[in-house]
Amino acid sequence: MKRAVKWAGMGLAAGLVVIQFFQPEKNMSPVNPAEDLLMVTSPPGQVADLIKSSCYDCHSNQTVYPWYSKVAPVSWYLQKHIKEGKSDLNVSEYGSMDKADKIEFLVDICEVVEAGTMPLLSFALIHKAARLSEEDKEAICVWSEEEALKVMRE
Amino acid sequence: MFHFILVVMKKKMLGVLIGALGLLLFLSFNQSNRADDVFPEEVGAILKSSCLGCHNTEARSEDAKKAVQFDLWDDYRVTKKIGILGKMGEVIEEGKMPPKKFLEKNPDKKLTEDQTKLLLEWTKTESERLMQGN
Repeated sequence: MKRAVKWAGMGLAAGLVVIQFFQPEKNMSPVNPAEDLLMVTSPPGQVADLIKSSCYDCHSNQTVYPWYSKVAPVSWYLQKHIKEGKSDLNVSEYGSMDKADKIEFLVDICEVVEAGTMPLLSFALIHKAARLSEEDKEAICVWSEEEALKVMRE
Repeated sequence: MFHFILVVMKKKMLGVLIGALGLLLFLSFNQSNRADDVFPEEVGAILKSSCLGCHNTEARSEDAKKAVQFDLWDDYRVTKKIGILGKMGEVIEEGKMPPKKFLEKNPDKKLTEDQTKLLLEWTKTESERLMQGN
């Protein structure tokens, strides 16, 4: 019995080492100032910080990877989330959205943070800076509505 | 004497009850009629027959209500309307709405090709109209 446990443990450890050689590509492209949401809209500093820390890891081309996120299988899990997040919405491509899509996005960002569906709980648990207070949500919504009206009048 | 009071009270209660029923009836009529004035006739008819059943204030599905309540359309702010119109265009184009499960039970609610075209056209023109501030 003892031996079986020992072998199983060693097998697991070896497996963990082997999977480290299969790493997904990193989601780290340079920022394109003509496309990037924060560059294009330049929200007030507080709102920009909130959006950067709460949304950008999964909804942009610039993920900030903490050390543990580089370890498989965590890195695989993360890549899946980033892929899904970006396919829903990629703020690194905000500049090339048409007017109606921009407005739709700006209305959405307020609604999802207000409803608490975003950022995902799993993300907010690990990232303290991504947890939004009621004041944070309010600040995002005030900005997003202003920006939406601005886009509308462009 | 006591009996008399009881009879009067009963009559009063009946009056109140009838009044309440009347009010409810009025409110429900008011609500279903609201969709008519707000949308162009043909659009309103499609929304009423295929969408309003789930997307209204009284509906059971919270998800449906969160997405849009067509009976509240007039109260939505302009940016919200534009956002919803974008999503409507998407789900109609992709054939996601009305949902398959719903259509299994209500095959007559499926959007015809003409209805689809008309709704898609409207979501686009209405969005543009709103953006131009008309």
